[in-house]
Amino acid sequence: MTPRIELRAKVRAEPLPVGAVFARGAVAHALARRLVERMAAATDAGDERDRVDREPVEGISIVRAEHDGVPVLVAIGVPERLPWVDGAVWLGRAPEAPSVWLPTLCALEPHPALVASALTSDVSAPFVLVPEGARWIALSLARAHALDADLLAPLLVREAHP
Amino acid sequence: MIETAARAVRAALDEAREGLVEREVLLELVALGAVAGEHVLVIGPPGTAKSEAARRAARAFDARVFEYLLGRFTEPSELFGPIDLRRLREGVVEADVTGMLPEAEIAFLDEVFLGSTAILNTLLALLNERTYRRGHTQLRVPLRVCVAASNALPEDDSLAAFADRFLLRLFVAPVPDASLEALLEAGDRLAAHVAPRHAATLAALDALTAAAREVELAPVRTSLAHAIRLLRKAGVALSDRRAVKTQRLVAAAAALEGRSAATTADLWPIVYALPTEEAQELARSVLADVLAEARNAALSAAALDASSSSAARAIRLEGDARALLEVVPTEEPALARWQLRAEGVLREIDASLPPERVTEALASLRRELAARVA
Repeated sequence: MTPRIELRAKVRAEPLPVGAVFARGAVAHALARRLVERMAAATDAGDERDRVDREPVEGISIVRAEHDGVPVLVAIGVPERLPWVDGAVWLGRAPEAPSVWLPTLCALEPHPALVASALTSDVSAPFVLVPEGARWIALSLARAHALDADLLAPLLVREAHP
Repeated sequence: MIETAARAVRAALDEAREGLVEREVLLELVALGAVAGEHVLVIGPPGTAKSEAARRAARAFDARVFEYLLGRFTEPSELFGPIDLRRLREGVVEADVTGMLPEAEIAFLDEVFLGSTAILNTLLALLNERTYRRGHTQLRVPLRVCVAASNALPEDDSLAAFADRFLLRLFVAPVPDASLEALLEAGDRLAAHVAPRHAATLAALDALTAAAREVELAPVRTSLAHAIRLLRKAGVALSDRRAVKTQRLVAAAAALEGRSAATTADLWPIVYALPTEEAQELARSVLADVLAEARNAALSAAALDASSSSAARAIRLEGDARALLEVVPTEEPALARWQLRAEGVLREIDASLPPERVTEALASLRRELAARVA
């Protein structure tokens, strides 16, 4: 019988530094749209000053997946370049186990390193844990891709035709 | 009266903070020191905008400022004024202090520990007793606060004793990578700086100094003692003298919020009374529970830096959101830049505040920002 680990989320006194944003369902569609808009802004940016101010998408990588048939999108990058979308969850690396990404205000019990070793054979491979009601969404970030409009296209189509 | 003065000082500080990148805490500590009657020592590498914060404080309070970079060969007359030769011929040794440090209301002394023994001894009296003596010259000086700067804390015992006269200490580093764009943009605008719209007079600052002396400290004395015990237990030494003087800072923090009694929200200055960077860093974690309610509407950046409390963060974010919503550009590319800043504030609200800590005012500001970003 596989042992079960009960994960508990506690409020973290000091928020984690933002390093990624997680979105699910309609919020994932909205995040995809914002990312594509920023890519377009990067292409359209005029003079050099404008380019610096917009700082649109450089260095952002994404992971697209589905969870229970609902789309999930994670964008990873420096906070200033990650678009804000209402309802998105901001993520940071747990200092106790840097491969584990958690909501910035979330502390995990038991120790994230224990959870990492239970969930994956490669404890250095990054993954996200986000509480969703009484359950948790676990998502590997090991296969993150550089930001690409083609990868986001399915989310845009579904936003237009939900 | 105290509320009016506090409002004026807060408005002046809000304006002085505009475009000041990563040095808001220093600006606010200058104000805290001025109200508490204590001085500020700032430690950090050269070129980190330490003097800019002092200059802005002087402008904000319409104060006479004296600024000087000391060297090993600096003569006392360069700071305190030359001997008056006409009077010397009459056999009287008197200094002409016009425009010099004894006339300053806010002073900034860079590389202060390079000063000679003669300079530091004269400075001691000036800082402690607010008096200047030289020969027949004996003056009460109008100095509200002196900001001294150095690359490092002195190791020499006699200099360490001098450094101990600065109750408030701030350790600064170069602006982090994430703030470089803001720094460059602010630097670009510095040349175009105009006279402040909301300069508070020194009278407002003095009114708060008087009010701070009357602030009731009894409600926080037990908490302050508890904090000091926690620090001692963690191996962080706060000398008895500094511990006693910390009460002045607590009282000043309450006065700057327009209150006549201190609460546990005002205990955060204890962090800046600790003498080393390591001690301050350790205090932030050791005192996390004691400082959980820390906040200050006028000194929002300093309260947040000392405590990382949600209450302090919410107040600071309210200020940021309000400042953004005051001026919303209508045309590109200013609008695109504004939206990026608005997204930054929204991100920080969502990423750093538990929902129960989002005040009604902040929730309303968040909705306004969100409507303009979406």
